[in-house]
Amino acid sequence: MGVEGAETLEGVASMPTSRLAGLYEEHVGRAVALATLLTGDRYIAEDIAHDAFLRVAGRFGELRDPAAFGAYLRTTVVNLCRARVRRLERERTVLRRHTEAGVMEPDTSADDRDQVWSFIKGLPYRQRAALVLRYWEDLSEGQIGEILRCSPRAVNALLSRAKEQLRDNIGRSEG
Amino acid sequence: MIDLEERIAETLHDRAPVFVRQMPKGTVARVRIRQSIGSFATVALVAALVVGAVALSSWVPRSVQPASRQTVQAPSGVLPSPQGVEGGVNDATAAPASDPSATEDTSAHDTNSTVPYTEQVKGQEVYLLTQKHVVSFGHVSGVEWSLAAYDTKPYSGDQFSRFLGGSCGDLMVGDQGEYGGIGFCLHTGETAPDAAFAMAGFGNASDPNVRPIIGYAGLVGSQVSSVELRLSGGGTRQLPLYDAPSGIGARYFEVFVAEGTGGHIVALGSNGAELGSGSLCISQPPSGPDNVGCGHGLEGVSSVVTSFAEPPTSTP
Repeated sequence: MGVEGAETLEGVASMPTSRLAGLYEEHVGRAVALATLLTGDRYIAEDIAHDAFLRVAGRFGELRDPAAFGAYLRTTVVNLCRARVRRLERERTVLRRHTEAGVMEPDTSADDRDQVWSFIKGLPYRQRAALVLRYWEDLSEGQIGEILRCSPRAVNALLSRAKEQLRDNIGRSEG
Repeated sequence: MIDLEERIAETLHDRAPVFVRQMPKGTVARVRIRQSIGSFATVALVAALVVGAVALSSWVPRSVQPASRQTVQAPSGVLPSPQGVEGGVNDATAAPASDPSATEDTSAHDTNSTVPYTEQVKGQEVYLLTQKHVVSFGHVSGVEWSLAAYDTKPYSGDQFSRFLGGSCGDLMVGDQGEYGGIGFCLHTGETAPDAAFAMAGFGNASDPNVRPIIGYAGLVGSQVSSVELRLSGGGTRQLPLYDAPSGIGARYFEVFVAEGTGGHIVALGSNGAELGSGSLCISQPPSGPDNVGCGHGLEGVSSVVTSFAEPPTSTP
């Protein structure tokens, strides 16, 4: 997510509405895509991206580096997705107690044709986040570590586990 | 490897096309409102701090203890007591002002939740009698941890370490266990068959962004009525005992301590007799043959052991 376009920004309070709209158009589309990959649900992603924009824009004057608006937005999206995924997992846990095992397994229905995507969605959140930030955002392990609040080595471990899990699942599905 | 990474990247890009979005009506107003709330909250917080400081300074009797003679706690000790804070958030817990570990954050919960991380190992069915149930979880230095209870059956194959059967536990650190963890069982080759206490220690200083994490966890049998933390510098604290779900006949404890903390964890019977104890030796493991189960300190994850055989540290 680029920061260009934000370097000349002043505080949001003094920012014309048109500039705020420009900021929105520049960054929120990508934030929605990121949230979609992290939550697996485009509707939830739309909510999260908009909420994240409000939060970051609302404290624009407090940002250490206002030029990095996109980076702040990205971190906020990852954190909001994490909270949302956790809540969903709690709800699923309760649901699972009342239903038969396997109901909430990763989606492999006909609607979800791409098996790799299905397996990615089935990964634990931090593994999935590391994978998305690495292979979709193209961030370094150090940058990912700053967002996930862990060391590059821990990021490397998360990526290794994720890929190992994917390799196993793909291997099994392909016989 | 490259093929897999390409497939991942292609899949992600295919699933998340980026569209430019128009800003919905009302967004500017909501941003302005958030700014106003933020400014008001900041002013209110500053005002509250000033009023609190003034009130505190007028309340504390200055003649009680001159500043130059005030007692300063040693740079070790137990992190703030577990607090009932909702999990999954950055639940920094305020500590007493005199506690040198006040900047640490840790919390614990009695819970039946299975959401926190549990270590699942391929093929574990050969020794597991029950699922792994999280009995407590929280944060330490901003990192998540979870304590899981489970029961095992005897196993002596080559795939895993030997299990004699009985209650076991795992303390895992990290949202996905990426900081590592420890496992411990009530019945091991080193403990007596009727052991009432087992514990292990965890140390990890690998993350430069996180303070060294040092924790101890264990489990006790029905003979034990309480578990005490006895610090080498003096001071004793009773540790909470977490019940496990039915079918697992043990109760569990954990404690995270600041680097440099020494002492023992002692299991007591209802008559006050010591039924077992373990040493807090992760920070400074003894060298050579004196190092019995203290691992390699903070260089990696280490497992301390337990010890029913360890001589009592003191007479109750």
